[in-house]
Amino acid sequence: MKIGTDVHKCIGAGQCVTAAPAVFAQNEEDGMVIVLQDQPQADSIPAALAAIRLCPARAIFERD
Amino acid sequence: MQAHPRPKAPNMPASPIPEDSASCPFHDGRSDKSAVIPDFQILREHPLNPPGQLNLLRQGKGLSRVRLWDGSETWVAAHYDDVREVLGSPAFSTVTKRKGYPFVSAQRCDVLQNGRPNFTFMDAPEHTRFRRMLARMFTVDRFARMRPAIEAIVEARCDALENSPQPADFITTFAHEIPVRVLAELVGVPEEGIALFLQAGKSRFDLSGEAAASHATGEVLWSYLDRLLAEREALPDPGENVMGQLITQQLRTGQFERDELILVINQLLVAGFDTTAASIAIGTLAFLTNPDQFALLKADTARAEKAVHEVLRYATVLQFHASRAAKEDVMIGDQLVREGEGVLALLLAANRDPAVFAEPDRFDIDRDAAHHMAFSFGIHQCLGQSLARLELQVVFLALARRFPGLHLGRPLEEIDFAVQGLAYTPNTMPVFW
Repeated sequence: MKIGTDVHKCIGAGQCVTAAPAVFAQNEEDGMVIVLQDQPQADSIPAALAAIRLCPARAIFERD
Repeated sequence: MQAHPRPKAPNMPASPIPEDSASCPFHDGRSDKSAVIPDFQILREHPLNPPGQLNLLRQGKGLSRVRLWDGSETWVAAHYDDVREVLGSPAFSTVTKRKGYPFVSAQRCDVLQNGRPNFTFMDAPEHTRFRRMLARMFTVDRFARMRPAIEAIVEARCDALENSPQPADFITTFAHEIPVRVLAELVGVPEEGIALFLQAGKSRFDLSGEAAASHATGEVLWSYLDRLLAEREALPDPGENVMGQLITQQLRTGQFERDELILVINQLLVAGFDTTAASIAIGTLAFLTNPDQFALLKADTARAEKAVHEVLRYATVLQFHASRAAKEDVMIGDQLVREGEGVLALLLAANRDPAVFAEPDRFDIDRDAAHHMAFSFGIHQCLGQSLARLELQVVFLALARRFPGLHLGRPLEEIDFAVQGLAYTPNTMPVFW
């Protein structure tokens, strides 16, 4: 699994950080999404998928 | 694209939306100022469950039509997937002057049409400019660092409750006091300003009240914040709270106008207060009427995070949210919504959709409810959600620890609720411990 982001869509809601703190963080400068693991380890995949579903701005997604 | 015929919800008139439905008809002779959505049975058969009407709306597939207080019609989304689709779609606007925007009461119409529009009622890119400016101050990490301060506030209110004669009113002694103090700390408003924004929230959130009261308290709050901002601007270092950061990062750099920032501060205070106070109150009621769930939390404090998602889902205090107007023709499920038509995407109905939450009227703190809609969805999803979640976790953990015997001073059925409040909450709630 690979993670893609569209930072222009991000609104800094922080849902991804709450759902998958090992995979996502927020940039201290602007609150926007940062990907910590662009290929999440197996044990982080369920949380990463939950984060993708929770993102209100559809700024994070699964890519090929 | 072609509209498919839709099953009508019971007793819904079949007439098309009147051409003038975007106007604000609060001077219209037909208006019944006391009624919120006359086609809606807003009376709740059980005070902690949504009106049965919402379940009826969900029996049909897709969107339904309802008549609003002013005689106009709007689409209603009551299925979780439809609500998510509407709120996540850039085809919909929150600009209240747009044709079709559904106002849920005369008071709301007047307040929104004649008040200063904050960024909740802007679309991208205007909205983006405000949201991005605020995002850095509302990160998960920043709020996590506020946890000790929030815990100190909650402990102090627990002391106050403990020292009150029994029964105490949980609302005025506890539920109101916590978000007010947390917001004061976060934003940098001194205690003297607290009463002002308590009052502002009260009049703005009473959908059956007079809009004039809301405008009047809004002006008082505006003048107060205007003065407060001027005082802080005069300081060489205006501090690390939100007001201080807005001054140094936005005002002094010329990024934002002074009036824009007063409006932002105003909105943070009004939006963050009633919703949090109501969620504390309804959440506490949920625990007290489901003692097995309160026992689970007491036994294992690690349950707090999931429990708060469930409190938010179960409470969904913004009972009449969220209004949208279509900017273009758009399909929601199989239904065509035309440009200029309104949709009421009901968060409360989405959060009790049995297709997404099994046995939705059961309060179950072990369920996975993180995908609830209580904070809405899309670009307008609650800016302060990380703070609200943290505040609620601290509150329920403190109640479980310090008031394990907390119970209601009168039966649930005899408690008076703000049935026409923008935020659903008990007006008073006597408790013993």
